[in-house]
Amino acid sequence: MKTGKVIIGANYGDEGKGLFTDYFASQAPEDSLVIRFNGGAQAGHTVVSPDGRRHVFSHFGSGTLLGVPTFLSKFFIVNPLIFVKEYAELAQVSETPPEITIDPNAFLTTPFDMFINQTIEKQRAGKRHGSCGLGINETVTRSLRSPQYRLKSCDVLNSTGLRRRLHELKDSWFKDRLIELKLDPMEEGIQKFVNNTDRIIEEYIKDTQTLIDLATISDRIPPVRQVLFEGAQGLMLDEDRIDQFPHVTRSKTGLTNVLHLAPQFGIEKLCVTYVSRTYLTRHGAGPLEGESDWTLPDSTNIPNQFQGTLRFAPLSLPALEQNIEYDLHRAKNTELDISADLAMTCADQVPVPDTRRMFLTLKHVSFGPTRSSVCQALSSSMR
Amino acid sequence: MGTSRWSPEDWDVYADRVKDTASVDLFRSKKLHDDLNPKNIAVRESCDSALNPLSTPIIVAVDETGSMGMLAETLIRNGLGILIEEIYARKPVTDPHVMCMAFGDAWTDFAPLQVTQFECDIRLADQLSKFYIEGNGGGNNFESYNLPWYFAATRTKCDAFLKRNKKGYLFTVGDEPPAPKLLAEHVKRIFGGGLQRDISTRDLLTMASKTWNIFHIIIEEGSFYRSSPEKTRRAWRDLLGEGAITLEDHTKLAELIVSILEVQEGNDLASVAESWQGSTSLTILHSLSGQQPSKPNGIKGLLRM
Repeated sequence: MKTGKVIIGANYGDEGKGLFTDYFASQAPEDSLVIRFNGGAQAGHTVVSPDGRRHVFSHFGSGTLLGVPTFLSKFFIVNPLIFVKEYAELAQVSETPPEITIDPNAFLTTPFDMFINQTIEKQRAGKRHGSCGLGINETVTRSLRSPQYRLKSCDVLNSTGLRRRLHELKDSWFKDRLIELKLDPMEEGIQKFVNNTDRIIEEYIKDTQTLIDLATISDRIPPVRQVLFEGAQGLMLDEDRIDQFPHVTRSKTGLTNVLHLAPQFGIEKLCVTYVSRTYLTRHGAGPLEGESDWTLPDSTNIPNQFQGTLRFAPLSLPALEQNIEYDLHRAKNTELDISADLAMTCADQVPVPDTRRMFLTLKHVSFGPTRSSVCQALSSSMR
Repeated sequence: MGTSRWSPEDWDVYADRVKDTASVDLFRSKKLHDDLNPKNIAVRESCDSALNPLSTPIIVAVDETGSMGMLAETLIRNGLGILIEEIYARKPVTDPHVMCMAFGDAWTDFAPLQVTQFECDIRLADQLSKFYIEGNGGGNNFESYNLPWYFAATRTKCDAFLKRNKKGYLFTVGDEPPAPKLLAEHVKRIFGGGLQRDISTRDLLTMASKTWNIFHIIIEEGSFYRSSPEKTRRAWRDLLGEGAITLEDHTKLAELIVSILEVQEGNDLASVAESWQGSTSLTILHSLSGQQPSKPNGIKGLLRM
């Protein structure tokens, strides 16, 4: 029976999904594949290898430093411009070229999506939604509005056609969307962008050509024994979390997409690992219950214009349990064989809470940023 | 979350940047890609399917050697992309299955032949991007145009011929004369074996023509052709007759190949040429003035093989 391992963040992101993907991948690096099943360029999964190499993954699976290939599923949102940037960064730390396959149906982010996202988020000033300014929400909005506005990763294979579509988008979607969002097209920043569009489109086309040079566009996944589904963001940011709206992300962060993909790849059994830090963090705006004035070190989450700084709160086990129960509930009608456990990171910063009364087992604990700091939490001494 | 930042201000830099690809180039293929290496290919198939019940295989092989200069890069990186788009859009033949090849000189090159799959959609472009353009070639006054022929004759399996007795189309593109023969030792090195003794290019042509309609397009802008036009043209005419076609403007390769296919499928040359705009129309007419529409009895091709 082919098994899939699923790594899902149980909170607001930043839980340690990268660390655990790297950890599981290291158990069979020659025979694993990482599938990204949600999100896009906004993800930032930090992996530090035991020999000290460090990379923050957004388009690539967190097993990349181990040579594990990546598959970006149709639920992933591809951003060619960030892809090329990240590939160049990876070249600095990776020993071998990363292997990556992209589903032809994955949505494509355009410069227009990014620009609109940044402009509205800037206008929100103190009331920001916590967006990274990479146009994820805009990409989905545009793609779902009408097939004529939708771009998919296979469209990069036809550069002439893509260029034409982008110019069309500029004159149709971009123009209308500015009006819809009550953005003034005569505003200085917008004017500047508009004046530059021809060159921006050309640079973007160049990036898409580099992308097909480096990646394979195909819906066939390489035959491997171990499939790792690497989630992005966290359960509390799922687009279905009405209670958290509008500070949510535009994708399904939990099991939903995995339940859809698994049968397509011949997977019958799923082992889900829900990852949480021993405390709660939140990046960017939105509610954070019990927010405290801690400042714990975190080199990934450098403050930025759009997300601000990382915020901290103590972990509430009942809330954590509720998130996970809610997610597992989605799988109740599936024919897949599903098991779930819990992993906790940052035990070196805040002690591991007593999880004995939770409905699922704490199976792994990490005392540091690398996979060598992960250990199995079998004995009660851990608690 | 999120480390890949992008600010509104970054767009100015993006629009103005002189792209620094150095670090990305570290990983870029500087050698023959495994998937395209003939040594790893037992057979390439063009099969009928529910979506493509009447498949027609088409092979376009481009000379990537130094005498083609930047032309090789342009033709392979852009030309073939436009070509397959035109073929899929115009459908000059039923259910086209396109395969592309890049080839060089069997005597001197490290990767004298690279071969994609047969594809029925634009995904072929993904494979084109993996071609390694060696740009070498020897000063031996010919290139190995017979390698694509050998591949087509021995390593392809096409339903068009097997089920419907219809030949595929094979185009080679380049600026030098044909190589005189194919050496068994080269076949061993490039394909991993398969030829008992050396074979003359003419005999190989006879062999490949059993299942393929063979054409060669001479690129007049190539540096070799410009220095020896008569010699090149004569050698190809002698070998292929009207299947040797000259092209004065390499940017019209797609239109030329589509036109050849349309004429071969029985369309009238004048109306095929007219279907293109402006100067393209003239270029096509100029290239194909020696071509005639196919005979009505279904015998395709211009070769007397």
